[in-house]
Amino acid sequence: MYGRMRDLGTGGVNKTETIEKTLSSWQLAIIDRETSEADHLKEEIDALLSTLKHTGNIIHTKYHLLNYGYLLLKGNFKLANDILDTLSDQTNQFNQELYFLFHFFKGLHFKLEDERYVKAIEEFQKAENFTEFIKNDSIVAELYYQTGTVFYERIKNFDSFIYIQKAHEIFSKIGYTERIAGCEMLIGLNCMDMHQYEEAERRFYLALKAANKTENTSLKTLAYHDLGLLYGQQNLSKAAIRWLTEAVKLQEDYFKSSFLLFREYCKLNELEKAKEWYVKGIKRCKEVNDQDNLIRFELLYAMYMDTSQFETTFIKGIQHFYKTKLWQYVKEYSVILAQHYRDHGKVQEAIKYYDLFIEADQKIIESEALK
Amino acid sequence: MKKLKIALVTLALAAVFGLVSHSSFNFSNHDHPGQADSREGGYPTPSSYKTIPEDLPE
Repeated sequence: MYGRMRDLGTGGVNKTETIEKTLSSWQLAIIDRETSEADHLKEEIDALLSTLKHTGNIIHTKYHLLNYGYLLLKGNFKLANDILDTLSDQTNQFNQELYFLFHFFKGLHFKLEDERYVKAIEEFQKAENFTEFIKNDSIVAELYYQTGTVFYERIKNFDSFIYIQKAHEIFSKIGYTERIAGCEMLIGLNCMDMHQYEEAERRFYLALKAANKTENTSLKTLAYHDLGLLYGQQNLSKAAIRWLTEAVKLQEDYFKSSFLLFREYCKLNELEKAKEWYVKGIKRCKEVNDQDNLIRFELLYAMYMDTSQFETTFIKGIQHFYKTKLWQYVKEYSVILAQHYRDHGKVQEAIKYYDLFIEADQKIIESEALK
Repeated sequence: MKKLKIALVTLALAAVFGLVSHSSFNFSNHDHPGQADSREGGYPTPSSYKTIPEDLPE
């Protein structure tokens, strides 16, 4: 697919030209998130570059830029940060294509390493200024897709929808089934946020249909998961469990599905099954050191399974989310605790947590406000 | 008296109640470092395929 250049470079074809072609293939593999293909192409390009004493500056700059994107794909943020420092000093050597890639990767970096979404959007929009210089439509569509994902994370559903639609249009023209499935999922998720549940359901089935045309297991897992999320949110727990079970059959360690299975079994008061998913979920969170989700599992456990620890678990959990400024979680859980105190006649405590709910809501509004 | 207080608190916060949905797990508005992918929906992105971090060459 990426036109690897194993058979070039020794005959009549100029080595520089071979390097340029291999760089282009590597670029596409990185942007397509094809990790193993990107690994192979990196080996090729490293070997090719080691045989050349002199290459143009632009080739080296492009190599470093793509290596930056490659490290992001691999999740190696430490090295990516080092390269970013160097690249930031070399922007005067960039042509328009390199500017596009620089801002695109930098946006991804902000998004992937630490979810700095405002910064990510700023970079993606800078990259958008250079799309006319990008010959490959799927790369431009990927920029739109990633911009749409960040708007979705920020619950800017209208913006997200617009960008994902643009990506969907391009991917459909190219017939890129995997990406079409991804776009359908995101359109469906945006519809869910906007309470357009029928359309969300239709989109998730389209996503599943597209995913089933591919061999991509992760994609199918995500489609099943989203259907489970949709039905769970409608309190159709049995239907939710059916789809979530399909998701974890394909990818048992997908903890988002584990969490939803835990929650849906709790709702049905099937506590034995709920506990199975609780145990799996916290094990996974500990393995990947995911403190936020570990606390979410514990909060749900205290709500449904060990209510004797309800107050202490909630107080600790809310303190953690307050400290880490996760205002949606502060909002979500402080109102549950406030309601609990109200129901038990503890008025002062109830007021304290209602106040906290209002404060968290205010923080969310501030973060969304025009700057 | 205690019941009255409770009723007053409840009434005063009625607007707040209206905004709350138990099933609305729309978490992530933050723009600060160090947080995991936090919305409940699934969609393809490099981070969605993360399992146990690989041993990467330094």
